[in-house]
Amino acid sequence: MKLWFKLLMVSGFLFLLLAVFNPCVAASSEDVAALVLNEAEETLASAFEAVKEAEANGAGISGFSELLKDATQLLAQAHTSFRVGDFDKAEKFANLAFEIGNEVKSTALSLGEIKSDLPTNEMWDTVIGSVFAVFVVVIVSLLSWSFFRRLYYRRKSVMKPEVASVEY
Amino acid sequence: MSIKDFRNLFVVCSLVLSFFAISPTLNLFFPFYIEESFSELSVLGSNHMAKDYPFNVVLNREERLFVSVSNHMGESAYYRVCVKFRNQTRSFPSDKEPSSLAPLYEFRVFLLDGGDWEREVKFNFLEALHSGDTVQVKKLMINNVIFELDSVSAWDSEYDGFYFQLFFELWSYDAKLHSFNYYERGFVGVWLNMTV
Repeated sequence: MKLWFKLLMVSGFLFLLLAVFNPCVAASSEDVAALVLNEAEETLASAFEAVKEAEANGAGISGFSELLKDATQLLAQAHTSFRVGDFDKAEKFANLAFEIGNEVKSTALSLGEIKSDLPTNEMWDTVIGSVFAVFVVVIVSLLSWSFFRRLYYRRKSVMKPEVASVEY
Repeated sequence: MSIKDFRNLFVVCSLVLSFFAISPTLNLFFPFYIEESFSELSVLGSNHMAKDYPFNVVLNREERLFVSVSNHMGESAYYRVCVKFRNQTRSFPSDKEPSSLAPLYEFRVFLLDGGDWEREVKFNFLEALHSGDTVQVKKLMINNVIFELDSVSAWDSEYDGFYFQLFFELWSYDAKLHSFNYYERGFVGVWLNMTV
């Protein structure tokens, strides 16, 4: 009687465990996929922000273009897979997007730091170029004006009627 | 003309040329030349032309479209193109607001300034039911991904058909807000007349 009762209790407990944990097991792949997808989404957004910052600092970002294109495409595939309930695929694509996004982000951040003085250099180049151009304009204007003035007076003196002295 | 007139002319010409020479520097501090920035979303027919769009669609026949995005924002941009499907009565995007419908398929695009992107969109109606004066689309395949739908269209006596619309919305990532925002007037779509 006691053994029978013990067996019944253990079976009931196991049944209860199964009932409690089974939905969790079923939901886990969806939850994991959602979590990975969210992480990939955030990583790609911050990678894009880092690239944009590097771009604003004057760094060349064309090298990131293809990588980010691949990563964003993978993320879109992950979202679509998630929407149709293919959580394994969603997780796989999101993980790939996450990895590429992370790589782009760290490289873009370091590039942004290295090149952060570029706008100042560009600004100085522009200012020095402008000053030089104004200097050239002024010099050329002065030279051409003095040349023109000389030519003008020479022509004028040629055209001037000479006053002849007439002796009677 | 007297020598004074010529002198004035020289001074004016020099000033104008000096202004042109200094304008790049002035533009740094007082920007007077601002390029118009915009993004483009377009849909082309199966021959990469703004014609030959699919219109009369039947079950199990693949149709093709090309969706493209161009970036003229003056900086790189991160876009999201949502593919949505609706009947005549469901929410359609306006100039300011996106459609409230959930996207079926989506594309993500990173584009440098001046960059273009294009993708083929293949779609195929796999399951639809015709009963009386309604058609119910139950399965639609977009780029080899099958979507379960429940979209019903009633017979349109004015245009003689059961009409559905496949449309695209453009969203762009706002780095300041850290989120995707619907791009103003960023939608295009094609009407489809379903024959079951």
